[in-house]
Amino acid sequence: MKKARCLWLLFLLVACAEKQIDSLVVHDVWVREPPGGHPIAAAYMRLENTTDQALVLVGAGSAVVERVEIHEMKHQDGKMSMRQVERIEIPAKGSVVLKPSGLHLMLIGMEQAPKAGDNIELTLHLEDGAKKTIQAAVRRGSYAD
Amino acid sequence: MQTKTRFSLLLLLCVSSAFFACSESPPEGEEAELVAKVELPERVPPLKDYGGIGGNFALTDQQGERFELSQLAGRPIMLFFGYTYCPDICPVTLSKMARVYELLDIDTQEMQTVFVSVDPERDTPEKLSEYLSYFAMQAVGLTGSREEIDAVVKKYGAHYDLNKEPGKSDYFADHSTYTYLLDREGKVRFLFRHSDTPEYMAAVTRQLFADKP
Repeated sequence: MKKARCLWLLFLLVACAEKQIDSLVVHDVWVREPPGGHPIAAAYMRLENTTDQALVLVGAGSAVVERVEIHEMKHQDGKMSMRQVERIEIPAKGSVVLKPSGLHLMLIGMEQAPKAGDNIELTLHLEDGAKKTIQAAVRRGSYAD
Repeated sequence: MQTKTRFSLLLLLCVSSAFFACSESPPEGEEAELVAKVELPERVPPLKDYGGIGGNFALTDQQGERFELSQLAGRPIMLFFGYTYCPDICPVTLSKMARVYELLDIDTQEMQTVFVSVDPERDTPEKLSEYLSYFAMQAVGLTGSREEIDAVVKKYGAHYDLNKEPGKSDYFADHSTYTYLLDREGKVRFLFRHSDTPEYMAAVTRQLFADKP
């Protein structure tokens, strides 16, 4: 009996640690191939929250990236500034788009410069501890992005 | 009333069939021809005289050679300030510039793109060369000492901040995003904003090409 409870607890622990959130749907994920072969790249996507409560993205990680930061571009008076932000709130039943010249994830210190055609596994971290693992395809950027 | 409804229906039919006709994907090989047929906006602002900003300067190009802007006299120039670690704005701007060449159907000998780095510590001539070769428009990449670059930035009314933090090797710069259009005498004649489309940029630039209707 005691053993069963232990196993159950262990199962719960594992389940919590690996809690993949289905109610966050990630669309159109891509990473811009960095020109010049720099080991640094921006990732874009649309985050859709299918729940009745706001979800908050607080970070992301990847085995092939030293660190991932959430950045936001602000364009004012012909000058673009990029700032790190701590969180992105995805409203209940709503979406947030991470796109060029706006919010995006910066993949900093990559093992190697990503090439078009590569796939990068990214894990999104939510404020409540939930995680979402996604595959981001690397492609060449264009003037229309 | 009934006639009006019938007319509306007919209109809807016409529009929708036109839409479907247009949305058919072109057969292989015809794509290049379609690209050349993109309509540029007819009405664009005239070229301007910015008087106070711009002028000749000398920096180091991606071959490590001294380069003076006046060497390009006789050719229009698109000039941009950026840095090669720029993850978002610079690649989009350079892709737009490359698109302008396609839209105007001109080659890289007829107009010169110049990319001035505001991050000379990381942007060596070699790095600039590798970075710019990605965009296939034979752009000239320029770097130099901090003082030299600051003087050019000032001359063109541009600005930047490197946001270097102690102990952090990765840093991103804030920088002005205007693309300067210079005429054949090297005078600034237009400032493109980051939000301008390549079609708009091409239509404005076309005014420097008397032979392009």
